[in-house]
Amino acid sequence: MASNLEQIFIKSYKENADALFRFCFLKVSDRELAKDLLQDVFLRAWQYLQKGNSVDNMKSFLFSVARNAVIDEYRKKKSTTSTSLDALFEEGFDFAAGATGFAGGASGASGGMNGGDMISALDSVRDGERAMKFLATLPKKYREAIHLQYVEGLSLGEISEITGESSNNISVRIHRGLEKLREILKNDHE
Amino acid sequence: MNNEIEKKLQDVGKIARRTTLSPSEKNLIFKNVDAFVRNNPIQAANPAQPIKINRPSPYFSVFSFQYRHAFSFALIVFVVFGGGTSYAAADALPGDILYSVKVGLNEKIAPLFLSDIKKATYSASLAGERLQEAASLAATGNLDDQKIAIIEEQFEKQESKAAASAESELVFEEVLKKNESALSILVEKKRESTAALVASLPPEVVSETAPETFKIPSAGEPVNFPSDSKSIETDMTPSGPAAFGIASSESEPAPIEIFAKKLAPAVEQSPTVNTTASLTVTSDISTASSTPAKLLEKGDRAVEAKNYGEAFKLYRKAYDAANEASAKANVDKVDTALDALPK
Repeated sequence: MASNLEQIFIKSYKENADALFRFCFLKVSDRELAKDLLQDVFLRAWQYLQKGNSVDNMKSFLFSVARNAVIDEYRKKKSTTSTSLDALFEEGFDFAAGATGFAGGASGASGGMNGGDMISALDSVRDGERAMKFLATLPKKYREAIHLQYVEGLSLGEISEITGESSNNISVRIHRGLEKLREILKNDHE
Repeated sequence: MNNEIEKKLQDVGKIARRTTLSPSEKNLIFKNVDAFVRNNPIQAANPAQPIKINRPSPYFSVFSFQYRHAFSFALIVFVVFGGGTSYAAADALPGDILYSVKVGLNEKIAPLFLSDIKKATYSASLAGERLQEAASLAATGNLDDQKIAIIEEQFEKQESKAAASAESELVFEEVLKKNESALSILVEKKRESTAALVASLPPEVVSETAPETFKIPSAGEPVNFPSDSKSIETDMTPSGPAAFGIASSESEPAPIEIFAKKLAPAVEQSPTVNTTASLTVTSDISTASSTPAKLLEKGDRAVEAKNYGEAFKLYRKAYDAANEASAKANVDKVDTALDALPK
């Protein structure tokens, strides 16, 4: 019989898997890699809890673990290739590959999903990923805070916990991120 | 302009949230995570602390917004009335309603942060305060037996605490000297009540001697001692009570003398007992010289020497011994009455 902690942990997977996947996807711009990172996040989190450590806010904790997992992944890549994560963002995302990956996954395991549902799911993903692309135009230092607040709906305190920055710093970053977006939109209109 | 950007961002956020895992992807990862969790259960020797999810603690709810006014009110009531009561109790005397607050709360809280030595010294000063209370009550003619009993109880408590260190004992001695007149009043009252109690005791109880449980052995018979006895090293040379280190009155032999006289022939004739032997006798013997009348006499001598502290101690002992003897006499009376009943 599963312990109380196991039940809470499994529930936290169901509640946060999508948000963490988006967060990883924003960082690495690779759907398959984001999925691997997501799994790694939950395995690391469980190992931490298994040692008897306590957690105040499960959601913030999982995002912190995800952030560290991405940093580790970045370090791993850095040692094998000369491409930096910033460079990856600057070069743009391979959204087409991501969407294909999703479509493949959906068709492979959707069971009773009909063609119409699949097309609708694909469209929604494409829209979502377009929105993610829009956010990815922001400089890295503002992107994370903007994503966590406007996409995941986290509070300043939670973002502060995840990033290890003070709430004031986060607030300033969000403000500057909004200014930057205003410039981007202005340039688009021109 | 920023508002417009924010609105735009919120729309973007809504759309971005459509980027999710497909059900199959989610299930696949879930299966892997679930299997990992089951294969790596929480270590029994090091159980995890309960995870605090975003849920307010039920214990904290008492202080939450809806209760905060009630809580503040209760706190104010406690501070105003509780503090006021404590302050008013500072001058309370035995018999007053607030006296228990004074000795049970004020005087217990005050020394909480003191070192052990300072606590003992504080107790010595409190013993002095008890004496002052007795003097105040005597001055108004309100020092009755009941109040003396209360003061005595509190005085004894502080006296025993003050004996914790040599320094506090000295302070205690000084307190007694300083409050000599108050102490003499208390001593006088205690003497009266003790003498009255001793006078009411039946003569056989006052002069009760050796323990009944001890059987005087005949010649050649081994000495059997009670099993529930206290071991003391005693010089059994049958040369009189001086051998026991106990002073005796010439007119009336002390209980221990009578016991020694009874025991002497048996000790001389018994081959199993040497004239100087380590003997075990019941504890009643050691208290035989502490009969109420003897203690009362000793107390009187201390009063003559103006050693009121010692006198007070001896009178209290005499009173306790008399009480005990009185209780014993009552038990004996009941036993006799029961024996007289037709069987």
